[in-house]
Amino acid sequence: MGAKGADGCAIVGTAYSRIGRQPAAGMAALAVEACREAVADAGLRMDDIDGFAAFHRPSESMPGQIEGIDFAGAQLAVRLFGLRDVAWFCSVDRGLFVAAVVEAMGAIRTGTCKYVVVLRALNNPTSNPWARFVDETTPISAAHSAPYGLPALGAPLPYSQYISRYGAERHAMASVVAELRRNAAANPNALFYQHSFREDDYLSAPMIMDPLCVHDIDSPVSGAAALVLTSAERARDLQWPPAYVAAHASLGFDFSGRGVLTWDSMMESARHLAATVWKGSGIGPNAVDTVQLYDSYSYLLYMWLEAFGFCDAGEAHRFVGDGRTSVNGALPMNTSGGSLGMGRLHGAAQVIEGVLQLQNRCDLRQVKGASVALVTVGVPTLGAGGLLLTSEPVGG
Amino acid sequence: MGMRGTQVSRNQLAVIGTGYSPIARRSQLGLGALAVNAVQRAAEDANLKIEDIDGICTYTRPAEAMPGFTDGVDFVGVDFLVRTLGLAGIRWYASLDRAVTVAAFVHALHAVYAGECDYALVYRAMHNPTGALTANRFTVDFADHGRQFQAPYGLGAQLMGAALTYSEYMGRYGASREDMGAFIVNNRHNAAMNPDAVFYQKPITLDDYMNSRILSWPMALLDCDMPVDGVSALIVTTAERAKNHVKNPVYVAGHVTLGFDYLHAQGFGSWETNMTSVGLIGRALWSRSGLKPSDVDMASLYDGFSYLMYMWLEGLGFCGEGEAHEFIRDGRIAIDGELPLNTSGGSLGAGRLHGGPQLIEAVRQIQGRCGPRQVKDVKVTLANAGAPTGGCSAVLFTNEPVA
Repeated sequence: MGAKGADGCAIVGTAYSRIGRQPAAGMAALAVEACREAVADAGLRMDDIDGFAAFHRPSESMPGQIEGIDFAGAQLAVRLFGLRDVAWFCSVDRGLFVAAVVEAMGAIRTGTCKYVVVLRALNNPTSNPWARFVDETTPISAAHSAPYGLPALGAPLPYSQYISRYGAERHAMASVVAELRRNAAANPNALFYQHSFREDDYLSAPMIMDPLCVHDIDSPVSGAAALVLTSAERARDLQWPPAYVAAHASLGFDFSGRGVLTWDSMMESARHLAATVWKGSGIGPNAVDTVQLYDSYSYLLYMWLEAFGFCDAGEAHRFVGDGRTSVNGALPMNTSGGSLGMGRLHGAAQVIEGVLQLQNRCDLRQVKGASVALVTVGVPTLGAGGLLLTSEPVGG
Repeated sequence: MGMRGTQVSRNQLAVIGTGYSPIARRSQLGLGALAVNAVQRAAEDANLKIEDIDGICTYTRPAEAMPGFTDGVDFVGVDFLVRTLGLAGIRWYASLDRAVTVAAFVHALHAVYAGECDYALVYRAMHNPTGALTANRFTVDFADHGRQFQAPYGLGAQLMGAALTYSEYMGRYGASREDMGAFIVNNRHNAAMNPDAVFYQKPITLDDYMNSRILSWPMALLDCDMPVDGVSALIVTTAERAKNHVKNPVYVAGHVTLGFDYLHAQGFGSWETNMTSVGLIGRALWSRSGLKPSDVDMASLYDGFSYLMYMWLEGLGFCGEGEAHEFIRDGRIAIDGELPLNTSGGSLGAGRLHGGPQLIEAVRQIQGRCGPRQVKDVKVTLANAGAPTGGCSAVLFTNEPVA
């Protein structure tokens, strides 16, 4: 016990609810839809499920929000399915979807649960409450940034730092985003399914906060995604080939304590995560067949590629050129369309696409012979996770 | 789960250190400093270097969440502590927003057992902001969603919901406020002997309780725990490693995190909804640990609201349905009684730390470190915290691995 390695768990079922800018149904209904279909996808019955884990925080927490309407988590799911034999649940408030997956692994590996559903449901409120100045005074955390026009964390800063330091051009990002949107156009689960998008669309889009334009930021959606996690042993007997979790980490701290995002503090945190993931598996970047990287902001892709050692520092903006990260390239990236193409599901889409690739279920966007997938989720200094998924158990 | 037999992690995990910061209604120190202090004390208690902590877990939610709350000031999140303590070797964390501190402790047990980390720090930091809490007030002039069916009848928030559930018990089983007084007075008697309690050296009489201001009948001021500035911390590791650190590690025989509102009642739910949930928690706890209520030498049961005690006592099987208000009489729950209860003073006496004091007292009683409030020959203790329908955890501790 202790230091068992990460070979103990596998993902055996996944599903999305209907996903749209406007909700296709109430939050609770979408959550139920995703859970029910993920369980069916695993070839299990809802009665088999004895654990629920979720990251349920709404995009923007506001007083008076109600579970089932504004958000949906583990307890709601247990209640709606009426499961009396549940053995455990958890609700994490940091680290997005992978943090919930990692806690679910703990429940499986201690024998507390056999089959855990991990859920992420997000409602897109009709008003647009995000990242605005609404008060006359700023909280302490923003005292040094808000007076200079930086609401929230200052998402564009690290990217402009990167651009000036390494000479990255917006054309490079335009081709990345266009690639992701092509992937999304081929993905029936994506928000931007069958939407055409060209590099010009990116280059001519309005700036939100220079250098971030509207297409550098994921679209808020109403939708839910769920997966079923079990032990590697039980996973073998189910409907689809399991996606084994060969390594995992949920970390992501702001060691600098600046509050405002900087490229260096984010890279430090991303490297810490990467080192933990690689160390946990004995697998290196060369063995990875596809990467599903968190891209709530487009430039996070550069960060992950460099931090995980797919290319050197400052080179990601060149690395992504020449089709290297396209579905047929050397390192297919975000074949689902990523968050930018699928909509804001806080990492669920990255994990699920990694699983579907290993199960060879991605149709037009399938990476041939994919057997190792790296998944990252989150913003490095705000809570982030990594999963290395494999089609065969690693390390016994 | 209930029928599945004992848990594989049974006897494999242990607590090696516990620590409190100074606890006060209003501290002169910032919450971040209090958190560092509590961790230092827990690590010292565990004979562990702070840099060897490689896992960290908490329940973060402030008493009242407000936009702009800042880590290290209004709450203490994992980010602040990892950075401030310089935990370069951190390998695992979890930050929870349900089922309070005992759930965080359960996550740490899982993580250590699974090898996510070797030494997990579990802590809870609570800040008591200046001014009154607004959580129990109506601050809007429009009741939407579920509130439309409650607010017009005066059911604003937690306190009123709690009062409803409690009064249901009183009506059904003939319990009186005097009955509860026995519990409250006992709690404060214990807290008076606990230097870490906010009500240290401040015992009360039954009259004090009966004269306590009613906030929402039958809930009086003294039925509610005291908001404080303070931090509690514990260190968890494997039973094997524990021996290298301390003479008397405290073993974990079983643990549970559950707590659902199956009937979807609003607010705190009916008495029955709550008891359904507590029954499932009890079933899992006893079967996973292989222990039974009569094995328990001391119980640290959550009393954020006083009446929760009746639920735990009945639902976990310490007494029969409707009997808890009689069970607590006649010194049965005193330190030298049949079931010493909340020897720390509980949340009502020690302060609102959402399960931290419950855990720490259950550990320290086994270690025989409780001074004038020490229970004799303690081998098995129980700690729990949370609300039955809103997420709740329970842990059984033992002085040695259970046969």
